[in-house]
Amino acid sequence: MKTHITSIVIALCLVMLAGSARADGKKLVVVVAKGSSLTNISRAELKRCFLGEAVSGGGKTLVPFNAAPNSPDRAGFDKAVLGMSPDEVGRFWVDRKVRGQSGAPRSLPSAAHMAKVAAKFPGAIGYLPVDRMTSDVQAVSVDDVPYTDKRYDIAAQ
Amino acid sequence: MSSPPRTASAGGFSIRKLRTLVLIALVAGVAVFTSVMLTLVHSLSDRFGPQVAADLEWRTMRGAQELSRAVDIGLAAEDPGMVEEAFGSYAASSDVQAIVAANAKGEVLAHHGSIGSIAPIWAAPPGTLVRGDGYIASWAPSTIEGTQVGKICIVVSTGRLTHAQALLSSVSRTTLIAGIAGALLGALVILFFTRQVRIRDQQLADHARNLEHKVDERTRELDERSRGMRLVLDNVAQGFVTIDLDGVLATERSAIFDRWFGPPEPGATFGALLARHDADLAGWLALGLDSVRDGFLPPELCLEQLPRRFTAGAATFAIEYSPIVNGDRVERILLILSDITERVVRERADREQRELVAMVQRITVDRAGFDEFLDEASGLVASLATAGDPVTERRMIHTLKGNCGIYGLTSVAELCHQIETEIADEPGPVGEPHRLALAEAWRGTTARLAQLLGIDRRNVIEVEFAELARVIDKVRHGLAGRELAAVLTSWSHEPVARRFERLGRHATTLARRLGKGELDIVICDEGIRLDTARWAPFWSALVHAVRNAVDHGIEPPDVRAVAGKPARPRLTFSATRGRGRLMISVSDDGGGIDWEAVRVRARAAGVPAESQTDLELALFRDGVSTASGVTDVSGRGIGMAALRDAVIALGGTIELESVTGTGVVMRYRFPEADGEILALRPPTQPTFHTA
Repeated sequence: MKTHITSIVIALCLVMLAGSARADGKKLVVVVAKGSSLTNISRAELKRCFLGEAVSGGGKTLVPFNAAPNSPDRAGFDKAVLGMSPDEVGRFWVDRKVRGQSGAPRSLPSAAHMAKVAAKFPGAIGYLPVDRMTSDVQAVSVDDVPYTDKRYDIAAQ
Repeated sequence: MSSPPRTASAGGFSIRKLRTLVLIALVAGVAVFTSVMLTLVHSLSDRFGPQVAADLEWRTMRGAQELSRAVDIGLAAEDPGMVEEAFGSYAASSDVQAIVAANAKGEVLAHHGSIGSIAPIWAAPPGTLVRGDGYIASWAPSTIEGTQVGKICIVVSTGRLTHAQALLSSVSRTTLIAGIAGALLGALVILFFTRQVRIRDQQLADHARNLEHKVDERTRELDERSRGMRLVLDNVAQGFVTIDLDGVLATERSAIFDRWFGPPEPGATFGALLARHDADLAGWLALGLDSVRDGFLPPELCLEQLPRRFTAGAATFAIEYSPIVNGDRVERILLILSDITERVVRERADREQRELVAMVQRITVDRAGFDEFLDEASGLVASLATAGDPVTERRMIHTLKGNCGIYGLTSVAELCHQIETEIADEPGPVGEPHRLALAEAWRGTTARLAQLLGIDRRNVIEVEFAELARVIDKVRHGLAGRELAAVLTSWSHEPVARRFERLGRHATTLARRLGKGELDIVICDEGIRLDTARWAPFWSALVHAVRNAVDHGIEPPDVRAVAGKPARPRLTFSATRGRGRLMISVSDDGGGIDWEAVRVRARAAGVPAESQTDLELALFRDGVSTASGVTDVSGRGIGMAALRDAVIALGGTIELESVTGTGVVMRYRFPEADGEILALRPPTQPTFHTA
């Protein structure tokens, strides 16, 4: 019995360690303007939106805004949502440009800009580190998983 | 002589015409230049003004478009700082007067610069140009994904265009003003200089008039001087004429020159004039002028060597040369010719008089010897009257020179020396002119002597009282008739002592002349008499041995003093007999014979010179002499050969004894001829004869 208790304590410690490890890459919260009716979006729609396809949400066509290129936020989002490394993302948009299709979403230089644009521009959708959230934006769950959930896996690298 | 003032002209144009032409050219040039410059400036204005305007318009339109994209995020975020940051380089451009960004509601969110009223610009359609006072403007909407987030306006100042147009206009005005000013200044300068030229022309004309006046005055002075000089040249008794270094006579000369030689042709040379009278002198003159032209020797030395005297017909002229130099270079030579005919005649008369006095002195001292000299010399001259063996002729002339020198006939001796000099390098017989000259000179001499000596001078026998007394004494003591006849016969022979005395006097005279000091003459004759006619050639030739002894053997006084010898050189003549032989010797106490010199001369003459015998034989060969140069005394190498032949002709031999530093003894040994050599008085001690 004593042995089982010890094992359970160790397992809990490992789980806590794992959770704390995931929390090292800050979670990126998908945000829209405060008051928007969009509160949840599927990961697939989110991916299509950030790959240049028209996706509606909250009664508006969503306009995606990316974090600055080569930033940890951008790399983590691309990896978690688009499933691409930064190089793969770059080649994807070059290929789209060559084909005459729409370009990549606008990139914003900082999280502050992201927060302002998301708050002001109608239909804007972006992502912010959890600690840069402002009161002018609201978080959007992904596949009904809020960012507060431990399953939420979109984080900066 | 003065001429009217002349107008200065250049290249066929007067100064006035030249000035007009230059002015026209200047104005035309400046006008053309100004026109070209104005055209260029207008071309620049036309070309670059619209370009600047188009550039500004393009920047305005493009600026609005670029700024609308740059500020879209800032407008979307309604962040003025972000919008102003997006203005970027446009805000830094000096051409951009203002940038205004408004949000989607039309409210101004950010701006740069200032503009009076933005409303007229917003009222215009987007992407169009709005022209205002001093600016142009355009605006463009800023959209994101089709949604207008705001709009932006850029206002560009047209000051740069205005400034460029003003600058070009200023350049045009400046060019025009500069062209006009340049034309005016150039005209003023030309007017000034042409005025100065005119003044200078006037001054030059004044100077020219003054110069002409001075030239006239100087010409008059020169004319007067020329007339005076001509007067001098026409009346002077000397011939003055200048020649150039080619000998060409100048046209100006004294009148007497033309009277003497006739007017020379233009370009005639003085050498040609000389050649008419003496070709040799003409060649001599040409050589001298060559040396003057060469300039290698000092001109004075060259002129010193030119002919000094020449004979033209019956007249004799003296020539003096004076160089006319320019710096260090002789340009011409002044000849001064003088007629010295009378002076030459007077000199000749004086010389003959001196010769006559000398001969009288000789006759007084030794009448018999002088008679014999005359006979021998007449014979030599007669022999030389016709061509004969060249070597013999040269010996005869040499002997005649020596004997004439002894007896004071210096004119004949000098003539002989001159002939010897002139024929020295000619191997053939003596030339006819020389024979005639010698015969003529001797004829004159004998004519003068005939008056002095009379005709029967030879029918006289000289007997000393002492000798006559000894013969009388012997007759009283029973001298046989046959012996008395022999003694009286011997009186017709000549005492050797007379010959020795003559030779001694000649040696003394020669030693004085050559600076050898006074001689001690020692004679030892033993009372010997010799046949005058038979021995005459020997005595004549012996003169050469005596001359050689004095000239080459006896040293100068300073040399003798260094050698420790007596100050007075001694010359000893001796005649002795014994064992059927007669010996005559001549000895001196000089330096002895320089055998090395004899060897060198002998080799040079192609004569054997290996042994001492060779050298002694060479000494008596024609053309071998130890003298370093030919003088009127010795040096030709003829005399000793003549002496050798005379000794051989008498059947005699020659012995030579030379001791270096001590002297030379020459002994001549002869066989006695029957009844010829008599000694009537016993041998005596040597008799010292001191001059």
